[in-house]
Amino acid sequence: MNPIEQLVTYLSYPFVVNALLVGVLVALCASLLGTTLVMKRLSFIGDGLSHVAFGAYAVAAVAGITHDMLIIAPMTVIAAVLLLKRGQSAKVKGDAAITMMAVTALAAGYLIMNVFGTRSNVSGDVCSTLFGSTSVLTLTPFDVAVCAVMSVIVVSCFVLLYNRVFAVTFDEAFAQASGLPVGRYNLAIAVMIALVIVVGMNLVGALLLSALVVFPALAAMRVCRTFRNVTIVAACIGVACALVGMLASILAGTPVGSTIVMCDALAFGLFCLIERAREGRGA
Amino acid sequence: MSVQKLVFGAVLVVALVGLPGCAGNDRRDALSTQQGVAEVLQQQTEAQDAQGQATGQEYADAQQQSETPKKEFVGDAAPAFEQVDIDLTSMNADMVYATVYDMMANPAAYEGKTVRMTGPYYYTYYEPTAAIYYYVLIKDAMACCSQGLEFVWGDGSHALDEYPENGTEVIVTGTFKPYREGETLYVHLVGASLEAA
Repeated sequence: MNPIEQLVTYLSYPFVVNALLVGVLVALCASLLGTTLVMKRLSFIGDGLSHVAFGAYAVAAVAGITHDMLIIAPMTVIAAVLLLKRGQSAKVKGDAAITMMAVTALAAGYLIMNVFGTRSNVSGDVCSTLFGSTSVLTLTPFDVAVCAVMSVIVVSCFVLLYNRVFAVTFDEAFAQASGLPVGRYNLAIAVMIALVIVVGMNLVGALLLSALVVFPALAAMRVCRTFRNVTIVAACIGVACALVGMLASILAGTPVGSTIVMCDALAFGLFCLIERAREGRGA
Repeated sequence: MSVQKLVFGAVLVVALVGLPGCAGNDRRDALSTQQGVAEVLQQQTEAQDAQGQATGQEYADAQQQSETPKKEFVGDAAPAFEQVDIDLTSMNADMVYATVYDMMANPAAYEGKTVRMTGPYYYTYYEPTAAIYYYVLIKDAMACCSQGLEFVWGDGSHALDEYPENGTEVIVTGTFKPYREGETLYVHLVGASLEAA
């Protein structure tokens, strides 16, 4: 059977279609929010929050909760709010606070699963949650519905509040002086990124999730000069890489998360080359 | 080159060569005897099978026979199904695991479909039901987890000694059918053909 025939056969399975749909939506939301986070120099927050989400997953797994998002989502949102609302007056700032929270949650999660876990294969569960090998192919209709609702909320907020997001991203002090409730917009961004991370864990796993946030924006910034263009191109790159990565993974039998991230990395490399070629022509 | 740099370089070389030798014999022994996941899985399954043996006479006979070399398993010449709806033998590891997971999670969607699968064959005796169950193990992409998919060879009248030895790679083709034992819903392939892989 040639790859095209094989792909057509695979696409007849509902769980494959669900996986592609969720992957595209998660990548779209992650890349939109990633543009803001990268420009605010908060790229590492995606990594930190995904580690917190892993810790929350461990608690949910040990407690035997069927819908683990009921635990993971609130805990991740709280962590996001704490990290983004700390502001300049915090004693432990920026990357140090993120790192502290991330490693504590990761260690606590693994410890909880080992000490209190009831499943026979803890390593397999941990590995699957951290790297998302086939998790995206085992989603329930509830998971797909949650992802769809989250994506509609994130994209709608981004489109409707675009000008305010732009102001908060580039000059928070000026935005505040202009009367914008900067605190509320930061809170909204924090909640949205937390939700994207909770859903995105199924796609690429906790350890690789920040790639979905960072790579598309960084790649777009190689060739685009305005915030609007960076946002649009980042969204296109994120979606394309997620789609290509998932299709390649399904056909080749490689881990889904790693394949998507490698596509993102290759795309970044390609756009760097394009930037250099442009600079060479310009010189 | 100064004497200090020479001494530093010599210490570095000695450290790089000597440090691996500091690993204790226990660790080296452990590493040298470390088994892959597949081997551990097979051993545990065989150990469970050994423990589960008890009252079935057929099972006891099979144990006696297993001490003598068995004939090579031949099985059915070909599957008695014209069309296979779900061919797990032509899928990669990711799709196999995801498809089997979906069959377990949504059995109603697969009822009546012809499924073809391959993997190591095992049987186990379950005392509460006094029955022997035959299944094929399907491992996930990382080979760290596995699911068993039960099957009924033909009309279920084959004797245990007609089946292959535990761990033999086989191909099974059958009709997917959920069934209940007590309050628990199980799934298996019925009317299956059993071929040597």
